[in-house]
Amino acid sequence: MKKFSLILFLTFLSMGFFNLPRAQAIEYEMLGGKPANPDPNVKNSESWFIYNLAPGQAKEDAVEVMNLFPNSWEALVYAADTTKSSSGGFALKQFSEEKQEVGSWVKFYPDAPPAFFQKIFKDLDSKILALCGMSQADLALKMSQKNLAENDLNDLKNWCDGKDSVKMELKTKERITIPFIIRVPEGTEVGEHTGGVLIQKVMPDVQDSGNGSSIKLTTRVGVRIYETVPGEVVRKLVLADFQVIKNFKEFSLADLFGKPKKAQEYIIQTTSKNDGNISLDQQETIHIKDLLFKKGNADIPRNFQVLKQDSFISNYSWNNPRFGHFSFSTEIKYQDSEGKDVVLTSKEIKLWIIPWREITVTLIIFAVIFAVYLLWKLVQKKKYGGAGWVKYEIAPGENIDSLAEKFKIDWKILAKTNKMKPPYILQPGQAILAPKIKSESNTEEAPINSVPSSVPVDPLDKSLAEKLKAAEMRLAAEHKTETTQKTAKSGIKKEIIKPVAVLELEKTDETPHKIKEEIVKKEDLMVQIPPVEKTADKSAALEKLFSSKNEAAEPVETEKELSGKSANYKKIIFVIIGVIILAGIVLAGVIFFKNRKKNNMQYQLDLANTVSENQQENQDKENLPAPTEEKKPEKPVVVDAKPADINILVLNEGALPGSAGKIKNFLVGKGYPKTEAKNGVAAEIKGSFVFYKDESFQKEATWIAGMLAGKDIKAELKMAESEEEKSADIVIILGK
Amino acid sequence: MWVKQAKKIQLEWALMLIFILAGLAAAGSTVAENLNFSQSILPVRFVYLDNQNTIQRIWSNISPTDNLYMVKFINVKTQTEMGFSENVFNSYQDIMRKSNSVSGLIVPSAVIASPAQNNFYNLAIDFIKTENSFEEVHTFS
Repeated sequence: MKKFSLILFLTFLSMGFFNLPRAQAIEYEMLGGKPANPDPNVKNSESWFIYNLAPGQAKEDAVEVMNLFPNSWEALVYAADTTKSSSGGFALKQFSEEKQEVGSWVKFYPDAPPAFFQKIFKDLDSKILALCGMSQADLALKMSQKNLAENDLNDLKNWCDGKDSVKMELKTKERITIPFIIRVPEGTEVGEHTGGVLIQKVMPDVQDSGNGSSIKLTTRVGVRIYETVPGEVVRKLVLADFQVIKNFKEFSLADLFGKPKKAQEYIIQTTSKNDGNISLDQQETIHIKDLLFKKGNADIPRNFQVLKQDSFISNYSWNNPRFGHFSFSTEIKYQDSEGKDVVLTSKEIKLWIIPWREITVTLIIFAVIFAVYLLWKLVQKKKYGGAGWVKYEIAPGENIDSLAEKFKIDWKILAKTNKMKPPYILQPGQAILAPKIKSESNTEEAPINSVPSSVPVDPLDKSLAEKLKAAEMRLAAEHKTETTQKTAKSGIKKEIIKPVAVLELEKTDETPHKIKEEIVKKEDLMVQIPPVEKTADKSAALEKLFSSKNEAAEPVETEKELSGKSANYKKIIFVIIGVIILAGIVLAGVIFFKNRKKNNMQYQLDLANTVSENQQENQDKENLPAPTEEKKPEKPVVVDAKPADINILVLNEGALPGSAGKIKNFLVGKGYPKTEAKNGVAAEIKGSFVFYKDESFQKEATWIAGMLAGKDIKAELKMAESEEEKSADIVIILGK
Repeated sequence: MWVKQAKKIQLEWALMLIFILAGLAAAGSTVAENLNFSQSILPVRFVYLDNQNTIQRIWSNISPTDNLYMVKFINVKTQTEMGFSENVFNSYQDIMRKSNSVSGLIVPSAVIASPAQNNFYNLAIDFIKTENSFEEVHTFS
């Protein structure tokens, strides 16, 4: 029994500690407010007014109004009914709006009772309800008077009616407690009724400049009131809808080349409906499963409040990977009327994420490369396809160079068209394709040695060709004989004469005209090639044949032609390289904009702070990089801590008073409930810092530093070393 | 001859020095102008619209301590200020109500993506038409 009591005590103690971070005043900039008389037995009563009053019942309470900044201002305090904010959260109606529920149930008593009744009020421990609840007879008895003056009674009655709102001057760092009475009218429905006490900074009205561009700015804080009329409390939550919405277009040119318009993300949207008569706290856990790689699994816990008879839509922005197969589901947990946990599970949504944009860009790049390749092939075919060429039979002594000169084309074109390979040896009688020779009269003629296959050969032409061939062979034989004789005479080593051009091509990659020059030189040294004029047979055909060889010896022109052709190749190569570089730039641009957009969006959505115009212009440069996890195989895998579990301590060491509190509220609002704020040990330090205890908190610390940067606090990110820096998982020190 | 060359070289160096100093002076003045501009800017919200009067983005430098701000509607392409339009102003109010941001860059299409607010702390933005002008109310509850 003792053990059980001890366990129960420890459980309550731990629950109390668990709830501690929530117990605080509502503060926003220079305004602050909180319940003046929290009930330690009632959860969240330090932050909100929580009552369980029956119809007709009243309760006396008080609100503490705080001016946290070192300047005085006028405050307006009033109660208001609840409404729903545009983002689906808890909101309070404006001062000017009609009060129908909780807002009308609250009356304020900022002043002391009429002087005549102050003594009795004091005797009643300053209890408003006690004084105002006294009958006229009881009052007279207490005052030791037979009859009370009508004026005094009227004054008391007026005072007891209370005030709907209070206007007061709040001095520097002043805290004022304003008593109020909440009275639940008879006939009020069973269940929860919500409202709030608001503290609003009074601002003078402004005159519009005429075009509606001047807007008055009013700031207020609200302390919520949750009044639950006892009775049959129905706690019922329904999971109305669950969907995964793609929140961006794959092919948006504005996204690619303009400023980022939309975050590339999926919205996981859960709609829950409270069918009960009391607001419910729902604990939602979104489950994301990576069905393909099993690496992107995530369970995302979130807590929300759903007002009675209201629908609530919660959006979770999922920064999806670019490829994968995922399943999504959600679980909502709440407590039913009997206090039992109820879990609602959604359907499972499976989704393929395919990087269509990247695929398309890649395909376009490949298509462009393929098109360039086809174009190149077309050029090659046109150049080396041998269109319009005819068969040509190699005569003795002919080589590739002589043929090129004969047909006035580049020897490479001849070689490539005939698919010749080094050393480009041509055998007499070998048939190759060669271009038709144009005569002076500009009519096309077949090569002299040509043997057109499709065109019937004229017998005369055939005989002429045979004669020519015979003559050429004879010339070659004479040439060979003379060379051999001269070589023998001069004592030079005998060698078989091969086409010099062929030998040279084997060794070098020089152009034919150079080779030709070489031939001439070598011929001078070794052999004297008999001039064509000295040969016996001087047929017109041979003259033509050899004259064409001589005419072709124009080194300068040939060089130009060759350089022009090689320039064409270079152009094609440059085009291909250019296309590849362009594709690379486009791809890099896509990746750059994608990353920049993610960073921008996160900061822009998470933060709402003043940025100077210059900072705005330089925002892209100043954006912190998105928190990334460095994979180091030699180290153990670091599991990042969840925001809800991280203990954060905000220390003020030289910043403006209240800064730590503000940052704390900001972080709590951003999903870091275990955040505390206090003054640091050092009186004043220069600069601000975010210290993280170990690597598991580095990601969140980086994120927090980024958020602080958005609040114009440039905090340096460091790993904790000193005791103070290690006093929490993440320690934020706000310096001067 | 040598003297003439030396004089010529000296003149070139002197001109170069003048250009460098002039460049430095110009750079310094630019920095100073920018600094003054950023420090003197008043609380303002720039509402950038496309040609169809659709709000593209809102940039704001106001802080909760400000009492008044100006809202300017700017054509995003021409960068010129546009006249006041009731429809655009209503759209602007709608976006601001839905956003949880008071200042910074607010992207309308991304407002829906912002996660729902914490159930313990909530910032609500509302607009009221007053007798003389509009009032924007920020409520933190």
